[in-house]
Amino acid sequence: MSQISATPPLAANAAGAEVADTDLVKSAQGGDARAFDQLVTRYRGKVFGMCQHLVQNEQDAWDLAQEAFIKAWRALPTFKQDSGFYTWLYRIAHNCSYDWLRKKRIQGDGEFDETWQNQVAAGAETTPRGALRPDQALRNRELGERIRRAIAQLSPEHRAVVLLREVEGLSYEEIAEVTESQTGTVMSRLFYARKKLQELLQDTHNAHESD
Amino acid sequence: MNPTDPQNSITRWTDGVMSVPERAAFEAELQSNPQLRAEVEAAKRLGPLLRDHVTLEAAVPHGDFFNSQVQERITELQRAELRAKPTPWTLAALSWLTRRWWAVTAVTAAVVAGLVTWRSLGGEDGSQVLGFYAPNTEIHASSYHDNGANAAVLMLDGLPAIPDDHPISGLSADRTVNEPEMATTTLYDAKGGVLLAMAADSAGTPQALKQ
Repeated sequence: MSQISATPPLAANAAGAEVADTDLVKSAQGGDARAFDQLVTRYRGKVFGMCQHLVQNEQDAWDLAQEAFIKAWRALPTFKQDSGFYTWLYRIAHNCSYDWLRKKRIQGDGEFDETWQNQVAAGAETTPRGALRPDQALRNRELGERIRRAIAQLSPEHRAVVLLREVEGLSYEEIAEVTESQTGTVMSRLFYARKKLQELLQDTHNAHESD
Repeated sequence: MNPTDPQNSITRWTDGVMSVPERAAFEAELQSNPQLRAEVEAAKRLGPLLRDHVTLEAAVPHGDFFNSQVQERITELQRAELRAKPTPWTLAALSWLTRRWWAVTAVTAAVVAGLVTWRSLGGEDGSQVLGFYAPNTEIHASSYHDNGANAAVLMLDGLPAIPDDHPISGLSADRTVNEPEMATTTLYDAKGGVLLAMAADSAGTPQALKQ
């Protein structure tokens, strides 16, 4: 089965050459906190973004992303690099977020942070491609908001797989690793997540087609 | 995972991960099934729509502070690991327990990794035990001065019998100096060399600082 994999980014070292994740991970495994700091800089946005999508709250996502990196640091000696660092890190962040969500469910605290939704809708994630006319930009922003609200209506399980697949381009196997599930489960969740999003965005679909 | 499951087929076709024969067979089916065709095409349109408007990456508020917090916590972890790790010099510092008539209590002290703060009162008539610490709270520690041995004997009740061939280590301190401002106690040998410097942490647990 051919799969699409996200390519981890590279950072520049002092000589201007790119430093691969694997090299930074090796240094960090040797106790080099500065190498780990580079990994934090490289992935903090993605880890924070994933936590935010899952818990729907900026402050909690910030704390959870912190927690994920600390857990990653502690678990680094056991990381064998047989999977990508980013996949492994996503898994940790995913678990942190899920543990948090479970606790919230147990506590019966289902508050939804509208502030975050509004902040995001203001443009943080909607990146117009090229210069758009004001009316197009406005429509684009509204569309982005609708899409994110639709995603927020999915269960965390469905939300995670559809974002990891459609947005991050992870393979089924990588998503299964991140979410600690079987590839069959990943495919099933993808199917239902897409179906639900299609329902929620039916008219949007048609509008996007005509653009 | 059952690749022939209709749901899985839709998902795998949408993601472009079917083999060539599989794809050909599925697309032949699509020709004869307009409803299925409409469903897979809708699923296919969803990906670009999501990618155009959503990203998993988000700008981390106060990114530098985020990194510094991670680094700070890592430093704390490293300090805690260093404190917890038994070092050769902390074991050597217990060499004063090697006298034969101390066998049971000395070995016991080594086994429980207890630290005993004591000071010589000068002259040959003894020493004074200032305090005990044993990580195992089931061990009851006490002491008395043995005139025959001219030494303070530590009694650690609650431990099983120690084999005779168990290696024993300890130290023989000539004098101690307490520094109230630094909350440290330093043990010196007869030549004025530092055998051990100790301090108590916020929980009152003794910590060996240096040899």
